[in-house]
Amino acid sequence: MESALISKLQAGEEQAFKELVESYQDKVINTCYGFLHNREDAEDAAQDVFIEVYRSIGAFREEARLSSWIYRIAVSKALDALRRNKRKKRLAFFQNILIPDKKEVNDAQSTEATPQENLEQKERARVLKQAVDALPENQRVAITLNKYEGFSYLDIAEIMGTSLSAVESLIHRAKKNLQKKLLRYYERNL
Amino acid sequence: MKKKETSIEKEVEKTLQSFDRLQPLAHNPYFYTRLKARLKEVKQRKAGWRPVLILRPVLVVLLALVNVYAAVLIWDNGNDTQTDREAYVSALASEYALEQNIEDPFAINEQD
Repeated sequence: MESALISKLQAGEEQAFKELVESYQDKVINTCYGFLHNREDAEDAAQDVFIEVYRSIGAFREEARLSSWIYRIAVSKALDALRRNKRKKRLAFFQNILIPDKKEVNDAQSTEATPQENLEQKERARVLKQAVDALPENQRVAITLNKYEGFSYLDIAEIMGTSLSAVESLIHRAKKNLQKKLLRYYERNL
Repeated sequence: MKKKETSIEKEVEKTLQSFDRLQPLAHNPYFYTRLKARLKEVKQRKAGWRPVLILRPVLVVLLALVNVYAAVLIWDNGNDTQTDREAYVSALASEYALEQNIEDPFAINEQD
């Protein structure tokens, strides 16, 4: 089934590409959202993912599952977008110093929340996001894929191109670090 | 003190639980249409840039040649002796019969 889809994609069949996008779009957008916390940025990053898939499918050798390959691209594009956003924020900060009345890039954009979330929950989500963002990159990727997206440890190992035990260790360390960071935060702010 | 510690631990626990409360984003039915438009744009941009990509090595080679030529010229000028330059100027002056006008640059005007 997957091989047939890959062959069609490699042959450049548009219908196959449409099928692929429809099957993976939600998961890819949500994966990017887990890192970016902003719907618009997540959709832009997801577009980059599918453009990359379209360009590179010819070189895909089926050494990994198609889904793992796509999510690996998604993680990489989301991290790229995150770095771009950080650069933009730094630039906006300096622009603000030089031109004080210029409005800052809307930071609230990055903490878009679903309507069901109440104020307290929004605040918790913001604090958690900050703590996750401060983790080392590989721990951040592993915990985001596991906690935000619900990927299994085995899936994460395949996406990150590492072993199952390495993923277990990454997630364990990420949880410990998060706990420490949150403790420090609430000690200062409670 | 103990009470504060307990409440901090509770807060940490509650915050960590908010991982589980995140709602997935709603399906966007226009995503594929937007992606298709973006893909088309990328293809067009790629096609538009191709001649530039081909010309790039040619431009690099041309720039290198101009640089080498300029370096040779500078090197040659540096090696010219003063007498070479004077001989060249006087040969040029005699060829265009300029010597008589050098002393009085207004001589031409007077003749007019």
